[in-house]
Amino acid sequence: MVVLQSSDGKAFTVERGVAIQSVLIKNLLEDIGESDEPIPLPNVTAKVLEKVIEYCEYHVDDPAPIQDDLDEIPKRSDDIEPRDENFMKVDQELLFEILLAANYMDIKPLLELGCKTVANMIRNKTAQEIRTMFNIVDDFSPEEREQIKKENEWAEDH
Amino acid sequence: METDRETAVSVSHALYLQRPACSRVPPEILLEIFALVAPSQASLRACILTCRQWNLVGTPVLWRRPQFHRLSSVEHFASTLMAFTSEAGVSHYAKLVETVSFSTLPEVDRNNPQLATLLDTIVNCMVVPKPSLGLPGWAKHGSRNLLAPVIKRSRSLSRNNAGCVGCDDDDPAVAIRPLSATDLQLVDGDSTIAAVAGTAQTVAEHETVHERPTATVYTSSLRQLDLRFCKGVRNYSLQRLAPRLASINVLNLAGGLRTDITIAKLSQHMTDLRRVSLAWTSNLTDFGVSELVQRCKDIEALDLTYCMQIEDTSMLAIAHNLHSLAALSVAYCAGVTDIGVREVAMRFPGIQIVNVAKCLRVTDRMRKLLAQRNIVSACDSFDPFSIYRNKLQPRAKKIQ
Repeated sequence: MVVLQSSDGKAFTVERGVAIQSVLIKNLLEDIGESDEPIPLPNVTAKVLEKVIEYCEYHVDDPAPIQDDLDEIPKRSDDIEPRDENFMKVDQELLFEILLAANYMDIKPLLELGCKTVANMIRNKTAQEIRTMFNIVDDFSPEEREQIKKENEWAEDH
Repeated sequence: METDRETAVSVSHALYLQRPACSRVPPEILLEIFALVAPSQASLRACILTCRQWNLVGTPVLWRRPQFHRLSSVEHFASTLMAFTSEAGVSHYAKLVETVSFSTLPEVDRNNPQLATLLDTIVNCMVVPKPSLGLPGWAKHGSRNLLAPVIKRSRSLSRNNAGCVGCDDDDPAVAIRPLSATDLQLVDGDSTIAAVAGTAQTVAEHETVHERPTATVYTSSLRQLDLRFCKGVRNYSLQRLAPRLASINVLNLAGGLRTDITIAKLSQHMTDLRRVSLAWTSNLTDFGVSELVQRCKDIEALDLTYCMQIEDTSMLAIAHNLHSLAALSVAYCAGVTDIGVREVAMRFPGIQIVNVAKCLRVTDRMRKLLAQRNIVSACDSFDPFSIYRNKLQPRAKKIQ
């Protein structure tokens, strides 16, 4: 068993197999060896860590991801499993927190799932809709925005 | 002091954590997200209009592989590039473009002759002459030797080109001789030899410089060009553009009515080609294929599906010239027989695909042999890019 400690001091005890899906923790455990000391994760709050552990628990038996050497095929984002899709049905703040935690803890499948989810949310939205959805502050000057709009006018869809 | 700094760090860290999670996403993750959005070009365009950070990260993704669904988009694209091109050099947008593909245009636009002009504009906005081959170097003897192969090559293809005076011999004196003879008549006395020598030198330089435009080497960010079924880009325009396409690795000219001469001219310049499709090129013969493989020896994937005129000669040329072939399609090529297929299959230990679907003169015994060697002998031959999907192996940089 491994003890993980969130930034707000909450300790989570998980099985080793669950914890080592995070490459960060895997490497850490290899370096320090087995220990009862909790592993601090200063960038991850309890709320987020709980979700991350939930993901790792039900993906504990997943085979190692296949290294694809395919180049030309655009990556897909419409192949999310229903269970994962449900898992990601959270508010956008938590969604990005999970994404950041997956990045920090180096959990590739979760990071990928997060990216796909965000990409699917963005698709077919206007700039304003995206800004509203993700609380993005528009920091362009009006002239700047006009200019960028013009320069990329060619990029329309069908 | 130490504690002060620590406090400062933890305060700024706390402030950082207070920012919305969305704005804390690092660029590499944003990049990953945008790559997933990219197939929907309009959505990606919306992304780069949201805020500065997203603009900074998203713009290169959007410009790397522009997709065009109508001719007016291509026009817009070309004129945007034009607007940014100045004396100072290639614009920041032009440097981002890696792929130019007209394959998503509707047929009527692909056959529009205007497409050639637009391609011309786009490519010309992207290229820069290679700096290492500046003008002063040309006239010197050392660089002359370097150039000899280039000149020889063009000679082999421009027999009926009257302007090829300087190319007739590697010795500059030969080209100058008639001129120095005229000079001799005008100049008399002891000064003759010196004067002639001087003139000869100047003439030689002029001649050399004059010949250069055909040999100027260009470079650009363009790596992939997809002109499949784009009959609007005529062979003549393509040939003229060839020197400016030298940087291309992936070329799709399927179904574009290309000829042997066009292929020969293109391969003269595009020596870095790695994946090529000439599928559905009914005019292509063994001559064109031989020219291609003799000059572009790095080709890894070659699609000759439905090139009805090619025969075993092409297969032998492929086997003897290419050294890292991984995939070849000669599906529907009735002229290809077991002999050619065997030559290719035996030659390359790393070959994965030899598509001989519907090759009437390839026997089942041959197909069995291919299967024994774990070579795929039939695959989707309709999509010309289906054999290109293995990632290009990074290759050591060539020494210039």
